[in-house]
Amino acid sequence: MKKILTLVVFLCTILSTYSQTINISLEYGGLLNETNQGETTPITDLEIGDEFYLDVIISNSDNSTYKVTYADIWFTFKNNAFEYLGVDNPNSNSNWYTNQWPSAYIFLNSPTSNIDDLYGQYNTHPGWDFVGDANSEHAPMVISSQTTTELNGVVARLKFRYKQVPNGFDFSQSVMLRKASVRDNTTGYTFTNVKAFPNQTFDNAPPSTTVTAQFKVLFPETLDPTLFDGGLYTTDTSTNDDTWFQPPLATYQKLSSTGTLDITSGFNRTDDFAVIVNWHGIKMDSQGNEYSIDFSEQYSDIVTISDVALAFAELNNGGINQDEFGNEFNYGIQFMNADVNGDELFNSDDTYQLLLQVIEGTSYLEEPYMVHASKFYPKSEYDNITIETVYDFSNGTTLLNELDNKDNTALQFEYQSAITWRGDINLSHSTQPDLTDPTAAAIANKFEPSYAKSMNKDEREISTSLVTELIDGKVIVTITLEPDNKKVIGTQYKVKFDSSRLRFDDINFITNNASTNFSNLNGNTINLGSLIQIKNQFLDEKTKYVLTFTPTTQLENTLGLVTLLTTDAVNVIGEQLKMKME
Amino acid sequence: MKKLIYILPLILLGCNSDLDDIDTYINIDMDIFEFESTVVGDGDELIINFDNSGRYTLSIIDEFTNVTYTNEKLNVNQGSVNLNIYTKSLPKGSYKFIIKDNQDNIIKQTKIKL
Repeated sequence: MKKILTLVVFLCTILSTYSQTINISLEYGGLLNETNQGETTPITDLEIGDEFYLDVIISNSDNSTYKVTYADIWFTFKNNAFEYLGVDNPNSNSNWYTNQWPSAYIFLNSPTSNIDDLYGQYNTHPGWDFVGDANSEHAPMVISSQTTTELNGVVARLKFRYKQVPNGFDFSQSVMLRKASVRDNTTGYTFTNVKAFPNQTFDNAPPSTTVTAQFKVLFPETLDPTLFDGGLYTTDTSTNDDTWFQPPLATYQKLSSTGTLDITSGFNRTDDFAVIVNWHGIKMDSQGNEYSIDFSEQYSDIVTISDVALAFAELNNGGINQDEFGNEFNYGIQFMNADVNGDELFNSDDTYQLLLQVIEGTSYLEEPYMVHASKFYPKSEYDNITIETVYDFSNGTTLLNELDNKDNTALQFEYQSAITWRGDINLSHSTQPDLTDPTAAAIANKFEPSYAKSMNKDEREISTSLVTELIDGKVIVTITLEPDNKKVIGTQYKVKFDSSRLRFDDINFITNNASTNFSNLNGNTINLGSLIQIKNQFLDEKTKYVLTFTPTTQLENTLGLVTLLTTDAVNVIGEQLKMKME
Repeated sequence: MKKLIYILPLILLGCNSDLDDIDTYINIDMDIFEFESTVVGDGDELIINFDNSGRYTLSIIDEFTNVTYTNEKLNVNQGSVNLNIYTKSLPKGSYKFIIKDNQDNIIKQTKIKL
């Protein structure tokens, strides 16, 4: 009987020691210097630059037999996220040795032990692999202590400071328990069941690194947003150099079909930022092949004969003393766009430049790039531009949209930007202003020069057609107009021809004598049309444009050799008309 | 005379819906209007059968916007006529290809893709 009891006691002892578990956990312990003594700043309030404690907690499931008097605990921490400030000892009768290594190593997990099995990892992991600083984001770190009294509860207080990181930084596993050796040195006992529990990692992300930001250009329906691209840019304010560059993690991409751009990556609430939007010009055909469109081609659709006619109307309708303005323009931004030479004055110098742009094809753009043509305004600013406040706003062309991002209480930033263009006088390709001044808005809403934005579309449609024929060895192209009593005073056609098979000879304008007719050849495109500036004179149904081409190869027919790309027309009151191509 | 006529395999359309969007081409002498949709390239020769001699208008119309990019007027004799289509001046896309008689009645219609 005595032997049996001895055996039972022995087995119980074995079982009790076998099941003795040491848990090691990481717990946030508050700021190093709390503002209010005795209070702990919530972890959700931690921000970049804060210095805080990360407590190491040891719990022994049964300390009646063996006590923890020695611990050798290894961690990794993300060197880009934190600066390690050392370790504080909450117990007066123990000291911690600590060391850290450069973030040039990777911890190789044991193939036979779970990641949270700190004892197994300590004894069977293959070691640390040196990979260099560029390939490792984790710095190894160790704390070790041996004491005469028990290590229990909060045994060490690691001190860290949050570093400045790009928005969207990955804080997962920013501190992680890797392996540990825990012993009772008073008996020489090594604990074999050492777990990382409940918290093996510290993953907290400061709110300022989790803000989201979206940018949207308010494109009118006449522009395809996917033809534009852009990205987040920053500048170095410590120098006078006005150079903009992309911050770390920021992307540059094509705008979505609704004109949006996700600028979260790289964004923060401290640096100066802007979004640059530029011409992308890449489209995909029905076969999935990409092709490009020059910006100048897009711009020739933005500034057309209807802009010129409206500019002339405003300039000529200055009242008996020629000192009135705003009789034809109803938005301040129209005056700004009409000032194409940028001298802060809309006058005949500008209409002359516009006329050359449309009729001669001689552009006033310094270079054929979007930066010389586009203007961006925050939506709220754009809606405040009235005829009276025109000179309160910058009228320079730009690709830059500077962002107001310094509100450090906001987590979601959404920017809306209006787009408009030098020379886009009827605002056909600009964001429609929604004037905040109710009086100005009421006046503006009485007249809509752009066809695309008009409510009376049916009343503003006329017909036109292009017919090709092979006559006596020449390709004859006849463009006809059906003005339908719409008092048309201006037309513009962009005709494209196959220059590998045809040579353009001439054009015969069959119009009334009051019109100024124009045509100019640019490569394989012919820009042609008419403009009447004499009162009560209109383009009638007899209007025709007959183009003659000489084939440079043998032709039996003409199908597809000459096409009508775009058209524009304007009536006597400056309304843009839609020409249905039939 | 080399003819490259690209067609939708209409026969397969009724058998397998997965093949609805497959374009292919054949090299045969067939009226383009016998096919529902044809992929054409620059300078391709098309065969068109006319029931009557006369003056006709051939139109290329954007399938989605109904914009007519070009019309050709020509006189043809009854029977099979070979015509060329030139695509360098046309934007890439999908078009209706229509023939009207001199009374402006549509007598033939198909789709072409560039």
